[in-house]
Amino acid sequence: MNEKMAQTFYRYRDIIPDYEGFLSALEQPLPVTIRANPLKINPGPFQHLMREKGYHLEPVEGIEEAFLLHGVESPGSILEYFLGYYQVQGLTSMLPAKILSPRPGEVILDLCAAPGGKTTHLAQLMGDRGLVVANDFRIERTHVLRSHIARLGILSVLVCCYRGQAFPLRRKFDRILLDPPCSAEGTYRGGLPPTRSENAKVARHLVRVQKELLLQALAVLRPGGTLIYSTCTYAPEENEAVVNEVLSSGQAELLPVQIPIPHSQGLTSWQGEAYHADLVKALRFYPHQVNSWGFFIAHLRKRS
Amino acid sequence: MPTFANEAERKEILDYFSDRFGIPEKVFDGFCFLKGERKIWVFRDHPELKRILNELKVENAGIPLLRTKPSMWKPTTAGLQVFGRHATRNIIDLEGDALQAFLRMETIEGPLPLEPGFVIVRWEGKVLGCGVYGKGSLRPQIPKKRGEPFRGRFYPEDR
Repeated sequence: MNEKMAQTFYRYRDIIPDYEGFLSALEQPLPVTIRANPLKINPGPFQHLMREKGYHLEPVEGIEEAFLLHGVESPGSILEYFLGYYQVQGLTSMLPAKILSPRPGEVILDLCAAPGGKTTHLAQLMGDRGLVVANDFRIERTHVLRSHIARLGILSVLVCCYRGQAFPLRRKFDRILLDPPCSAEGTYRGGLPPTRSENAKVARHLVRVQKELLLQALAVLRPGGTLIYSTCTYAPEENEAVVNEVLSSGQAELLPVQIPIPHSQGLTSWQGEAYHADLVKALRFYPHQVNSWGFFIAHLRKRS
Repeated sequence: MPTFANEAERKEILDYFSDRFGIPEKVFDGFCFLKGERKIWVFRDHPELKRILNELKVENAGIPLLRTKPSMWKPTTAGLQVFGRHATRNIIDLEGDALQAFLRMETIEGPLPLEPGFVIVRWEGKVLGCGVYGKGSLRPQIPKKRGEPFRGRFYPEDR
């Protein structure tokens, strides 16, 4: 185990179940997962086509469009990728859009959208028959988002470049996906660089931004509308503590989630601070439970 | 900032795809065309679209369908990959060395059974994108970035 990484995660030894197993899992290579694009080809024929071309594709139980792609070093250099038949995406990164479960015709906001894996998934789940506003405040980051939209052939996404905390209040959305900037600890596997949150100033800044973004997201969500708050970090300060504020203020309630992917429940306390009891309904994903990025997901409903 | 194409402009776009590629007008039913600077986007009709375009500053809408220069219109690879399967003319299927050359952005020498101008390039019946045919040769028009992974690489034999 990389010493730096062991130090980084040491503070989580009491909250991550089977902590030793967690550390071992970090040493394992991350599998390549892809998401079939039914707007161009349905998962069944896609699987058949890829197998015919000699690729080893393994379905992921519980997520019809997800596959493990074995033996391919550059999944972005395959002609089927060029044709827009699939998107390369971490398995746990597919869950926010799945859980948000948008319906055709709805108007959805992805507040921090780039690089666009979740945006394009949202559009896909609506059969490209809704309207997704994909916002990202850095215009250069939207170039990648736009290239995925074009390659996947998605015709229902509008791209905006507002600062998330100042997203215009005049439009109310049916559902919102908020995957804010985070310390990204969940993406650290063996040999990868140390976490940003080790710098206390950066960590405090991230938490402030996350709280501001969540408040703004709730402000543009219609009453009764649902929202996913997700991060790829284990830090409770960026997860439960952020969600706790809007639960405690009564602005939102947490919804239970049923998902056939192994996970742990959210925390109700951390380092002497107690959180709302409903936070057990939030989901924590660890790489020794599901071989993917570490993730946190909370499914919220705005109170009327 | 995209704005809606008016009826005359819509007709012009439909005529272009019908005349050049034989794509029936009805293929575009349920979609609207939006104009930007030297670009036309195609977007799925939605009852809230007009209002949202008034409420928000939108940078990009759906996918680019055409690049519009005063001298000519050029269909995009993204647009052809969605709507090109309905085309009946100015289509060329590539395989083997010609396919590999196309992906490497190399000119393919003809003559080929195509009218001069922009054409649809396919592989095994699937639309790869746009090429331009003239003076007996076919030049790939795939966006530089999208074609990059295939430069110097052969597919599918040498993956």
